[in-house]
Parts: sequence; structure tokens; C-alpha cells
Amino acid sequence: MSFPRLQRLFALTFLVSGSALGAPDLCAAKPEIAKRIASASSAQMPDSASFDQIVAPFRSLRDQFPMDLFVHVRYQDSVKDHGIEGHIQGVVDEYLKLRDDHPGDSFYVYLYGRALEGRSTPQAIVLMQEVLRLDSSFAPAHQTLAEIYQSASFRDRRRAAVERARFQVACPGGLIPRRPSPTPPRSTLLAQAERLLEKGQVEHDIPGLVYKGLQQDEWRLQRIRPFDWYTGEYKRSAVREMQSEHWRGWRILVRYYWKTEQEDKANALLSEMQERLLRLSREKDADLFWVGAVALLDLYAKRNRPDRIRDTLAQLERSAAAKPNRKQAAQLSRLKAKFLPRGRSPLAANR
Amino acid sequence: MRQKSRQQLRAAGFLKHIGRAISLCTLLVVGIARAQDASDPGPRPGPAGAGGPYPTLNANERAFFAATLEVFEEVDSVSGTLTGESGKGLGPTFNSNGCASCHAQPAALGSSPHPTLGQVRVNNPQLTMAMLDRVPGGEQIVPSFLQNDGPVREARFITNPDGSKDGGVHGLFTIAGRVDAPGCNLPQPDFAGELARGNVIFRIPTPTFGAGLIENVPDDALVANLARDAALKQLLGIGGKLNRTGNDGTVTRFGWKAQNKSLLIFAGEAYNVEQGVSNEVFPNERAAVDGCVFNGTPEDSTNITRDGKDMGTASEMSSDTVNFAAAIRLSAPPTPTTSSDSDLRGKALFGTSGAAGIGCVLCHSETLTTGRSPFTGMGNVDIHPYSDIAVHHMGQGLADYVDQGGAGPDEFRTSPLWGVGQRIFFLHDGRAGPANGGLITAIFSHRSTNPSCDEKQMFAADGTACRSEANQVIDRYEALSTDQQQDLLNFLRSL
Repeated sequence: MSFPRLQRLFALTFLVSGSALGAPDLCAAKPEIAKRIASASSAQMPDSASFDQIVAPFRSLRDQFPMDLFVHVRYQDSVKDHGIEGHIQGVVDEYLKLRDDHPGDSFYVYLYGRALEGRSTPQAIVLMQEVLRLDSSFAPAHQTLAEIYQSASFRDRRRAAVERARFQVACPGGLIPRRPSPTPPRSTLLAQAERLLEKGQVEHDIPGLVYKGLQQDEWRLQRIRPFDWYTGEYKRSAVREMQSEHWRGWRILVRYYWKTEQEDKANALLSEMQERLLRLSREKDADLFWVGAVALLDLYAKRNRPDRIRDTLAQLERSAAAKPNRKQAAQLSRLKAKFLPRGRSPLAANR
Repeated sequence: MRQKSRQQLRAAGFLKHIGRAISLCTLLVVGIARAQDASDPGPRPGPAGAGGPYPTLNANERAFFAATLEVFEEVDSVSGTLTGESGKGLGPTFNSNGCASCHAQPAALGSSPHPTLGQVRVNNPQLTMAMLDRVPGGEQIVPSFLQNDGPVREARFITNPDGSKDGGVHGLFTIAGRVDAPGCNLPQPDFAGELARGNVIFRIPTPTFGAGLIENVPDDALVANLARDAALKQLLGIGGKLNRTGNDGTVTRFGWKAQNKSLLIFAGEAYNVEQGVSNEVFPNERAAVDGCVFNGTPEDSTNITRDGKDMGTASEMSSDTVNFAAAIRLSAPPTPTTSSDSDLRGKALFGTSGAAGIGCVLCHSETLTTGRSPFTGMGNVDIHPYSDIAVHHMGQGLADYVDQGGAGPDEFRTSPLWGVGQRIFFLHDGRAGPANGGLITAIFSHRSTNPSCDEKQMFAADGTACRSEANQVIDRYEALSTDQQQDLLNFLRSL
């Protein structure tokens, strides 16, 4: 065997063994690390646990094993799953600094890119490509690209298949997690508050349930708004749901204050709702105006306020006339049938 | 003994009668004297005469103004999830939740409202901020310097805890405890402690009507105006300088110390500082504790497209900040009602462009002229802001020890007096108002002499002037007859 051939063979052996030695570290966590991550993930947290409390075990693990990819990844995920905009941006800044402190190091370029995944995803793609230019054997970059290309917002079936295949060649049996992870369910506390109110069980802290429920749903919104996994339209619809949820909460509170004879509080909140409806009527958001108007109609009906019912129905009639819409016309008919004596137009009654 | 004591009692009773009679006479004399004192007529009733578009604007410009004014009246919540508060970006710290809540009197774009005076009678909107949208237990403390019938205020700390200069605004409230800010725990600043240290100063909202005209007065015109009547100014101890940006050396003109270059900067700063909304002019989130940052920055930005669709009108495409600046820029100045004999006599005493009267006009310049303008009819017009836009040393009495640009601890911009007829509160911190004489207190607050200075000394060790530049003019005001003082006050209330 000639010397150059031997040299090539040695070189090839070295590369293969290097890849064989390095690959498992980047395909799956070492058993010890996996165990530690599992333990941190299963730590019992009280409902009232703060973001810092939830993330602390993952941050601690990351600090103990700063060279382990999987503890970094899990730490990033914990922030994305539990943090709000400020926390998520904080992690991005943290990994940007690490990347800048280690120029040309694929490990840190990858982690910075991954911090941007789902947030500034086009930039995350660029960074994954940079990782692979620096180190073509860096399998997690293929995994991240596959995650991105199979997500709804950045779907590219061909590229997803290519990246998945490349990842599975490097890490046989490796899975591509579905992104984004599912958003938490909507809070059930408002429904619970409504049930208690219907049953007259006002000794419960119904306002507490309402406010906690609204805060849970506001928090849920933070699982959506900071991420580009979701389209602008989806985010706006999520905000719309939240706005409607506030109306629902206020309606429960007014009824609770009535039932517990806290007239002052009920009146204050009711007039605040009326003021909000007035402001809504000036905005262009007809759908939300209807949500608010219906909430008020329900309350006026419960207090037998035909004058207010007529006023509110008249407002709805004007809104429907301004932008004729079959759905709203049908809804208006239903509301009239429910709240008005048969055959009377609220506008006519006001004349 | 008994006899004597009776005599003593009689004498004592007589003296008591005499005493009562003297007291009564004194009261009557004082009462008569008081009745003869000049008094502030108070905010002028009747129509607002302000808040509309500049009268010569064309139909498109007027429509744009109307749209931008609507944005000015928008109310913000943290993420825009509360209806009726559909703007987003409130906090983490803030002083109020909408421009028009504070810039309210006598119409949107104006200044502090009052619950029982003026055209817009509402409670101090800042008091609501401690309660609005708060979960039970999340209510915040209303700082002691806010009263329901007092001025809207922002607070600045003079120094940092380490003694270095601060001067920045510290938001009165935080979003912690609001229903739309779960998890945020940012506490309010310790205003009670800082007040006890004497470390807090205040600013009230400046009215913004007609400010687009002021924006459009060329620098050269301001320089020339300041140089006018130099001999007389020197005689009266009046100096003044234009505040300038360190960036390009041009004149800055908005804010209590004329620290802001343009209306866009003015609006951007206010949006960031007063409401906590980061924007394209001031893109950093203030008090950005991670757990209280709910929106990406800047929270307010240009809206070019939405889901690939054109956003529509110029107002819709523009950021809120651009809308605010445009609403201010295109607004008309307040309409004066100067017409009665007393108003006109007062005007002559105040001084006009032709005759200095007692000298008020030497700083509160009657007339400036705008340069060319892209907006219909707003270019090359004479305007009457009653200000030279310069900053002047007002001495220790008004000093707030905050430096802004070239304006030092006691230097303040000559406050434009157009619209002063309907103002409720006066001076940078709102110290003069209906509860303490209003305009009269404001006038006399212009006078200040530092007793620790010697005769030739110009500045005290704290950097403030030993004597206010207004001292001699205020002496002249004081020397006027009561009727003349009243004429001057009537004139001011006609503006």
C-alpha cells in the first residue's frame, strides 16, 4: 500500500471514529443527563409557582453541565413554555452573548439559532445552515430544520423530508418533535365561577376565580403572541378571544355583586362596561362591539331594565345597518325575540 | 378684694369689647383691601376654542387630522386585550394610559383637567390608574402628591441613590397587579421615601395646541427674536438662550426645558415615558424587568402591511407616535377672546411687539413667524404663542435641579401663553392653581432672589442663578395699581 493511500486510510478511519464518537453526544443525552433532565421535568410545582421557580431546576442543570447540548435545549424549552416576552427575549440575548463569546463554534451558533426557533424562525434557519457549514455532522441542526419545515407556518414538505432523512442517518431512530408544542387549554375557572353563581353558591370566592381565570388566559396568550409559529391572523383571533373573555368575566362579577348585595360595586362595574361599549362603538371592531352589547343585554334583562335593553338593541340595529351582514342580522333577530316584546323595533321605541 | 376684682372684671370686659371692635375693624379693613386686590378670573368659560384642525387645512389634511386625533384619544392596556383600552404596550411603569387623559383641558391636546373647573370637568385621571383593571389585592398606592382636584403630574428624581444626577421620570404606577399582567411583580418606586429626602420634582403636561406652528418657526427667526430689544432686556436683567441639540446644534423647543427637537421626538418620548410604550423614536422598554415585558419592542411601529394586505390610510399605516405628532402638528392654536377695554389695557401693560409695557413680552414674545410648510396655509404666517421658546434662569424658587440638554437646574422655557385663559394649573410642577391664587401665584413665582448670594454674585453653588431673570418685571407688575393688575390678569385670561 502506497504511503498516500495509507495516509488517506488513516484519515478516513480518524473521521469515521471521530464521527462515531461524537455522534451519540449530539443524538441523545447521556443516561446520567437524561435522568437529571427527567427529574427536573417531573419536579412538582405548586399552581402558584412563579416563572423563576419553574425554570430554576433547568437553569441549575445548565449551569452544572454547560457543555451539554441537551441541558441547554431543555432550559430553552422551559423558558419558551413558561416565560413571557421578556423572559424569552432574555434567553435570546443570553445565547447571543454566548455565540459572540465563542466565534465560529458550531455548538453556540446552534444554541443561539435554536433560541430563535419559533420566534425569529427565518433567522433560525439561516443560523442552522451556518452550523452545518461549520460542522456538517452537527445532527441537531438537521433536526431543528426538520421541525421548522414541518410546522404549519413554515411548512415545506420537501425540505422537511430531506432534513428528517439527514437527521435520521446521523441519529437512527431520532424523533422530530412537533412544533410548536400545544398551547395550554383555556382556563376553566370562569366556567366554574358561572356554575357556582347559577347554583347560588356565593360563599365561594367567585371574584377570585374570575380574576385568576382571566390571568390564566392572559398567560396562555403569552404562549402565542411572542412566537412566529403563529400567523398574525391567529394571534389577533387569540386576542379577540381574550377580549371576549374579559366581557364574560365582568358579566359574572356584576351578577355576583348583585347576588351579594354589593350594589355600589355592581353599579361601578356596569357603568365601566357601558363606557367600554361606548368606546367600542367608535372603533371599527363591530364583532367585539356585539360581544359587549350582548353581555350588557343579558345583565339588563336580569335587572329588568327595558329602557336599557331598547337602547342597546338600537345601538346593535344601527351597527347592523351600517355594515349589513347576514350573520349579525340573524343574531339581531334572535336578540330581539329574546329581549323585546314581540314585534317592537328598538329604534321605533326610542322615537 | 371683692370690689377690686369686680373693677378688674369690668376693665377686662371693656378691654374685651374694645378688642372685639378692633378685631372687627381689622377684618373689615382687610376684607375691603382683599376685595380691592386683583384676582385671577379663573379659567375662561364658554367654548373650548381649541382642539380642532388648523383652519386653512384642505379636506385631506383635515381628514388626516381627525384620524390622528382619534389615535391620540386611544387608551392603552398591556397587550390590548381589554376592550375600550385597545392600544397595546402599557407599562411596565406608567403615569397614565392615554395621551388625552392628561392632555384634556379645554379639549384633547390640552393640559390637566379639574373636576369642577374648565370645559372638561373630570377627576384627576391618574387616581384611577391605581385601581383600573387591578385584581383584588393588586391595587396600587396613589402617591401623596396627586390629588383629585390637583394637576396631573409626572415625577422625576433629582439624584440617584449614589448621589449622581438622575433627572429621569419615574413612573407613578406599574402594571404589577393588573389583570392583564400576570406574573409581573415590579413594585412602585418609594415616592414617600424620596419625598422625605427632598428628591422628587414634578412636571405637568404642556398643552400642545398649535405646536406645529412653533415647530415650523425657523431657528434663525428664533435667534433674531431673542436678540430683539437687547438693551432693554439687559437693563431688566433678562438673558435667555435657545436650548440646542448636541447632535446637530439646532434649536430644540418642546417640553418644559425646551429639550425636545421636534414633535415626533416629543410624542415618542411621552409615549415611552408616560405610558411605557416603546416606539420607533424611543425603542427601549423602560424598567424592562423580564417578567413584566409582555410585548416585543418597539411596541408601537409603522404598520405597512397586515397579513400581506395594504393597511390603508396614512393614519392607519403610521405608528401611533407619528399619529400623535401629526395631531399636534395640524392642530389650530387656541382662539383668544381679547376684546374688552380691560383686556386691551392689560395687553398694553403686558407688552406688544411694538411697546414693551411692563416687560412680560420681552420673554413671552407676542409674535413669531413660521417658515415654509407642507401643510395648507401653515407656512409664513404670524403666530402669537407668547413665548420666545428660549430657556431663562428663574432662580432658586422655581429650580428643579434637573439638567436637560443645555437647560440647567433653574432654566425653563418661556411657557407659551396662548390658551392660558383656559388653563387650570400653572408652572412646570403645577404649583399654582385654583387653590392658591392661580395666575397670581404663577406670576409671583417668577420672582426669586437667593439670600445667600452677595450683590455681585451671579450663580449660587448649586448652579442656580442668584436672581430670576423675571425679577424686575415682576417688581413692575407689583407696582401697578390694582386695576392695572386686574387688566393684565383679564388679558391673560382672554388668551
